[in-house]
Amino acid sequence: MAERPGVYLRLAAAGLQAHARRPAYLAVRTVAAAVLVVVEVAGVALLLDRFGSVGGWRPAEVQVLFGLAFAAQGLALVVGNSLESDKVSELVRRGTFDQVLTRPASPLGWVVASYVDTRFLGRALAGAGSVVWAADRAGVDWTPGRAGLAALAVACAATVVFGILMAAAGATFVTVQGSEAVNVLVYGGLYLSSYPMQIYGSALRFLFLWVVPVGLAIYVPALGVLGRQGPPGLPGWLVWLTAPVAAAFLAAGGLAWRTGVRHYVGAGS
Amino acid sequence: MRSYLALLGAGFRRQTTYRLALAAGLATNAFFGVVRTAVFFALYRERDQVAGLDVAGALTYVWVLEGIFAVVWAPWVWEMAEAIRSGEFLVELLRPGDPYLRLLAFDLGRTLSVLVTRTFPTLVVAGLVLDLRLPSTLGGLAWLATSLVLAAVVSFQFRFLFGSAAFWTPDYRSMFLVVFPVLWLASGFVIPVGFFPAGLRALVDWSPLIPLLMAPVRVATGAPAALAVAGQAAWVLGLWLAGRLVLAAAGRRLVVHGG
Amino acid sequence: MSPIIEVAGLRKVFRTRRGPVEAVAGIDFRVEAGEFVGYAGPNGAGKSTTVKMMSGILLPSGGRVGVCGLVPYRERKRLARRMGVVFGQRTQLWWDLPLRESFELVGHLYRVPAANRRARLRRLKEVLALGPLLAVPVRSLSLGQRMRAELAAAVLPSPEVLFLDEPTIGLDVEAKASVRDFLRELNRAEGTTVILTTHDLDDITRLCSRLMIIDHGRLIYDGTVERLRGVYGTTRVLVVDLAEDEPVELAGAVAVRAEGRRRWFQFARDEVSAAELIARLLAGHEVADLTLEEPDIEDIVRRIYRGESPP
Repeated sequence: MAERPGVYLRLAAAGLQAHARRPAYLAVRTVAAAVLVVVEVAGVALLLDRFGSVGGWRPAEVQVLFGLAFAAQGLALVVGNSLESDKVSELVRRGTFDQVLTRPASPLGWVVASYVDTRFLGRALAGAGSVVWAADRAGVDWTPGRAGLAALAVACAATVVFGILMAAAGATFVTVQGSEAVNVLVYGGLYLSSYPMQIYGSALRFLFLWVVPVGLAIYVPALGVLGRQGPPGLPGWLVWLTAPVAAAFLAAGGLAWRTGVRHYVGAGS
Repeated sequence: MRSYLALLGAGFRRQTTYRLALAAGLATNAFFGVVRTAVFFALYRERDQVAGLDVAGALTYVWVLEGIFAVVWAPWVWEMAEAIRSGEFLVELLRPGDPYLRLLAFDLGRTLSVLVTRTFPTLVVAGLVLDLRLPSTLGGLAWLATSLVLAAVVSFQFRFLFGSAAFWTPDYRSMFLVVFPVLWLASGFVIPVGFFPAGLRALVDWSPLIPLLMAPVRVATGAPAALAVAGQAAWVLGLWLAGRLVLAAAGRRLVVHGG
Repeated sequence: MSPIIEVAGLRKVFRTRRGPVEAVAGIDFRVEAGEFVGYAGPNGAGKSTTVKMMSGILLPSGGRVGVCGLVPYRERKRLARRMGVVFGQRTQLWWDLPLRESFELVGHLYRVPAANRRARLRRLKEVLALGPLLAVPVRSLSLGQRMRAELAAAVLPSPEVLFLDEPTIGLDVEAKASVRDFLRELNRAEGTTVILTTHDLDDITRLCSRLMIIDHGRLIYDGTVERLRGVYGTTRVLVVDLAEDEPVELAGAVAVRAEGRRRWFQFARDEVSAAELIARLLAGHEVADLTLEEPDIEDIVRRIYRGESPP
């Protein structure tokens, strides 16, 4: 990208300005997103309080995972919602993507910046709030290190989700149709990561720890936050791998996006 | 009468053409079902029964939920609202016959297709692999099928009511989004209603949301079927009345304001 | 000096479900800087495919293409800085924002220094009468107003090449005139090379010094508009439904076709007026109905393609 990042910020600002002209609409959507997070976390509380524990984890500890997952989801979608398969499919079918390509800017930057949507911040903030509330219930002593780990979990998981969205968008350029399969990886992966990973079978664990590492990004730092020992297969030093693995996945997603755009340019619309 | 049946068939046929979406949908259902199953297995490791629900009942809940998901939260939910805003819906209101029944017939055709292509296979496969509490007698299966169909009807009625907000405001989605968290929770899609605290449960049991998921789950797991189905039927009637009132009001509004 | 656009043996084959489709089957042309070229052809002829390949958003299947000395699909972003694009049906502006902010964004995007942008915008504002529109959100503009705005946005960064795709479609007579005046002046005063894709014969005759016609992926005419006008475009056809099936001789027109009581008379636009011809006709015959046919590009193209000799 030879352009100054300022251009994309301006684009995003323009998009946000357009949204901000209907403040009531924006507020409703943001609040609704936040309330939904609260409902989900409360639901988990109701469920786990009945059972006492799951996989040896107390309810409040599981809620910390839920909060981290929602925070990551909200954060990723603020920038990544433009890459959702349906939206990309529409860009292709309507020919709007051609116009994006005539601009002196990176198509990814353009698409992302044009559709920044702050209502997902509602989800992110509710998730973060849940983490704080649940950690309090779980008796977590917030040191700067632990706060850093929580932030790492959210940032890395959001990175992985964005990577998934990029890859799915790239695939949509080839298939043209939207794909529900993306939802499985994004929402399914985050839902799965909201429970402690040891309750899953080895196939699911492997898939979401090492292939689509959203589980790794949330679970391993969360162990540090909660002061827990991981299961034997996941030594403590793995937390140092969280960021590199997430970054590698992001790069793979970027590659998939570029391949998709190359295909689009080759095949026309 | 024949035209309604024709619409039913048309809806059924239309929905079966979405083969790619079906495959993706089944994959989604399977994935979430597997994750929820793992969660319940872990939850029930130390306990046999909680709040009257044992692991077989809980798993049955999970797979009925996954099976019926696409019927209750149908992806075509805003089609009617968009047709209202674009003016196309006016045609529907001007045709002879009952627009509500017509819409129901077409929608039911589609949801029946989903029941056949998604719900049924999901339940069968899950039932074979896991120890679920599904009816084993012909009568029991008939009750379950009836309950599922009634759930489909109620889901249409809700979609109609929410979509008809479009007669009054272009922001129909926002209105829905505001109440959605409550719907999501109270219908049992977050956790089974049986796990709610007693007071909340008593309240929720009387809501029209029960027919969507909890009623078929209860019929499947062996609760008195006739009672559950009767409850669904009662809400079908109530929601139908609400729908008629809305249509009448909408008709009056169109006459006053134009399309 | 090398031409600003150079196309040699350009081909594009699309892989569709029905098998490979050759949208562009080997075309060659050169455009010098400052030319105003019309690019016409029937729908599906390959016009937009060629333009896409020239602007770098489509990969050619074969041949060479160079614009401003760059290979479009390889140096897309660099080329994008030096070219402007206007799509008739779609907007490049920001829908919900006041027009002035679209111009600001374009300025930033194309790195137009703020002072230059303001000065240029002042001039464009005047020429295109955009003053009262600057505070209006783009979605509230009429089609004519929007098209003027699109043009201003496209030329704000002073591009070397301007690609226009049906810019006058759907506009009323007055709007078309102002758009044409603007383009003519732009080309004359700033030497901007313009490639105008259009169906509108008037656009071509009033603006273009050169016309290329493409049909079925091949260039079937590349020459001046004068020649085309002189050769093919000056005739009209009077279609008459006679009351009785009788022979008709019409001075100033050539009977080109007859079917029962319907007759087709071709005449040269600048030799005799339609009114005169009709008067002559009515003086001697009873007429049940009549219409006038204008030759459109499709007509001309069909005739050129069929190798028809000029009338």
